[in-house]
Amino acid sequence: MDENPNSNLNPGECEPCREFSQQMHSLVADELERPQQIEAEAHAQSCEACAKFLSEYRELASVLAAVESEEASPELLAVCRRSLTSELDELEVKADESRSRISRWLRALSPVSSLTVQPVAAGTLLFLGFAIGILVPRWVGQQSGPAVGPTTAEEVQVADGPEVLPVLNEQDLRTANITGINWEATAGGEPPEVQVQLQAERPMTVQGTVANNNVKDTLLYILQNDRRCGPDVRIESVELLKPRSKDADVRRALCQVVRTDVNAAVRLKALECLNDEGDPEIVQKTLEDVLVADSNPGVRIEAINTLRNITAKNQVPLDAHLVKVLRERALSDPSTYIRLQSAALIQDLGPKQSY
Amino acid sequence: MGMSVALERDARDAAVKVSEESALVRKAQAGDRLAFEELVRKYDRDVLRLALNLVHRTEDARDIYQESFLKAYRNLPRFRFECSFYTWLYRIVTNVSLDHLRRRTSRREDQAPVTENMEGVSQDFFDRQPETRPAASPERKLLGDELGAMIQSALEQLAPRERMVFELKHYQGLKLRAIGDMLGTSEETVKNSLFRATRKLRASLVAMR
Repeated sequence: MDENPNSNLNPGECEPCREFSQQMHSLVADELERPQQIEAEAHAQSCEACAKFLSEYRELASVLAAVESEEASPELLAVCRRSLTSELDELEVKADESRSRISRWLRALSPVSSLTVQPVAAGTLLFLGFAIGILVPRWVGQQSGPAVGPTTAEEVQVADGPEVLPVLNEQDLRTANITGINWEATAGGEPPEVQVQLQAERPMTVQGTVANNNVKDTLLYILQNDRRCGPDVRIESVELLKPRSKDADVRRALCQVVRTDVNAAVRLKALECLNDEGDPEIVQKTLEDVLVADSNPGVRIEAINTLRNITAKNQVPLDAHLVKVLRERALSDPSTYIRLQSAALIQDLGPKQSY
Repeated sequence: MGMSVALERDARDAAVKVSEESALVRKAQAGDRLAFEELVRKYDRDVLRLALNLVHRTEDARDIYQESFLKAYRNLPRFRFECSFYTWLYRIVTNVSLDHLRRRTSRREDQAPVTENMEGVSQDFFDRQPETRPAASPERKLLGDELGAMIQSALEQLAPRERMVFELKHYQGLKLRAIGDMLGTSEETVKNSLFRATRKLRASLVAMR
């Protein structure tokens, strides 16, 4: 790359003097610290070439400043977000399909399947397995004291009926179908006892209150994968997660549901949970998105009500984007209620001149 | 005293934000889709604005937005925290945008129409420009629109990389070093690109009188 900004000068174009060339270029790029800036400006007052150079660039800058930078409209942003979300959904579905193809392929190649056609080798391996299973623990017991049995709850696998998993992972959830949620209210305002049935190669049950991380993760998974469960299951998941809405993961999932769930009833339910708790900035942004992009007037009404509630508690920081959204809603929302509430909220937020 | 306390508080807040963002990036790297979408929402307004200002067409800006974030999503496991997530993301966005600009300059039908010269006006282009911002009156608004079209046309004549540097510096207000980090080049090279762009821009605008 050429290193000299003065190269390829056209005749008649002015340049700063050689001694202060770098400083002058940095000055017009607003890249000098204050003391160097003062020094360069002082020099320009006594140097004709630098003064002319500065004056020309400042003239150009003032012309460019007369044209404002183009801002992305909230509608365009909402459209972009939606299409990105659906693109990411598709990527995840493809990744899931590819994972299950690979696991089927691996199962087909596993030694167990190849042994089904070789009964003699299978019998030999079975015998060796038994021998090792019986002899090695005895030998280990003699070497290191009493044998340790399966004493902790985590090591126990339930043989009859559905399996109760000690730790659930993403893979378990991806490969299982969630067939239903049962829950029972408990006395004294405690969170209810939840039971989620997962249908997989072996049926599993996730059980506990929402304070249990397995239960929480399963309910979050349901919310994050709205194509895999019905709206009734998603509404119940939202309801059950409500006591944990202060939890950052839960709050993010609820905001996501409010923005993207295909069912308006589920979005409304999630909005209710955002009413009282959580990080006001994230909640505010979510509500702004809903006001701009949600086609359901009921959801938008709930969003403007929630926004007013939060603002009344002084939890929402005032920013230009919020004001822009509200003004746009006040002028053009098809619902009279939303137009009036948006205008009222603009008034609540502060004096007109600050906008 | 008060000022130093405020500065300390600002530094502390900034450190907390950086560590929160790192945690979010780690979650996204571990496959947490919501964490990734939170990162998207943090920066996507700026990304879309940059794209719009570079290509001036909604459809192209949408493509740049989509392509950039999908690339970020796919490549997130390779992010090693050697720079900020913002710089890394902008590196992707600038590469995608440069590809768009290059494709566009190679397709004649996509190029913006050249603004017609104004007849009967003999004074220098710069002498004709108002000193205040255009929104103050309908006449100024009209003049502002005309000026905007001229500047747009002048910008179209810059090389894609010069265009990018000029946009990031002038309209996004980034420092030369940050632009260099994003474009994978030195501060000095960025400075040279900026001044070539500024000079070309001035020459184009003077020619439009």
